[in-house]
Amino acid sequence: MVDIDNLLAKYFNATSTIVEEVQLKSYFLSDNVKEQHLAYKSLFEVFNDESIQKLPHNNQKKTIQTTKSLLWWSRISASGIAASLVLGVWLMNTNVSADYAYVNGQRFDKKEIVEQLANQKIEYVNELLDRTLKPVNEFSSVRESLKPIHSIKETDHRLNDIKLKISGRY
Amino acid sequence: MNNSRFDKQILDLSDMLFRLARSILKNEAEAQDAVQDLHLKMWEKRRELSVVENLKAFSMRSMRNLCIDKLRHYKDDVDVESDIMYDAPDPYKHTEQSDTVARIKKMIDALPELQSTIIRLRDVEGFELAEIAEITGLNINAATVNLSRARQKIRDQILLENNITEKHYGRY
Repeated sequence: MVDIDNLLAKYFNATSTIVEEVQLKSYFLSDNVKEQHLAYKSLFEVFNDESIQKLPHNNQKKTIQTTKSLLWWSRISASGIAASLVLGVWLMNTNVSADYAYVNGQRFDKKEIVEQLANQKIEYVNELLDRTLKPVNEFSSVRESLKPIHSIKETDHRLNDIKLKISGRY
Repeated sequence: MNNSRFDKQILDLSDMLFRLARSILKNEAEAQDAVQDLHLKMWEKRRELSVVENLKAFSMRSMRNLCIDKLRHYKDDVDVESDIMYDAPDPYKHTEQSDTVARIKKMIDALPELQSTIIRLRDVEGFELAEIAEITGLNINAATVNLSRARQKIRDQILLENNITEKHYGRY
């Protein structure tokens, strides 16, 4: 026979074992509770009620699904961030690569030097063009100089006309 | 820890974690959110979980810490460790609070968070004192003292209520 009063005393002093507490619970949840113990019956009913409460089933499903979908989204986000970082680094590298140039097999990182070299090349090409086109210019100047010679023919024609007119009168 | 092992070991604790969260947060929706938050956090750290000896106690301790953080976040001005006094029922209002079970639940909720958590861990979930100590971060003696105080407070209030009832109704 279980001594309920003794178990209750141990229970309230927190010196009872799990097994003894199970005995107390089964006593208080039964229909055989003595009148002097009835005051504590509700206490054990409260514990029993709470122990069978569950996370709402829909929520449990939702929890698992949401957890997994959150994880999925977090994976997607992480992948997106990683891809952005890779793209960013790649673009940075591309920008960096735009800041250097090879001139005659030599790498130049400073934009100013590259521009200076390019200007020197352009000036050299201009000089070459100037030199090449000089005869052409001279040819045109010869043409200009020959213009009076071309006008000799016209003068000759005019003189002939005058001669004919004079001979016709006499 | 792989997917199926996680489902088995952690998700199986959902009901227990939910009960603990609800008892601390005193709000069902927030308790559900807390369970979800904890699942997510634990999934993220699932590789580290394989070295945890008592996963059940570890999960409960994590849940308690999460709930206390949530309480601190929501109610910065409320000291979660402070004693909330249980209002003994006014004899004239006694008939309105005829549900003894509801009153006892209220008494447990009115205990300081640590004591109400400890009494529930023992009397609802059936944890050993060593596990309760691990969950709450106390030593076994301190956990035992807090359990004893919590139970005695509830007993005193039950007896007080019965005396009031006795006087008021004069039945005994």
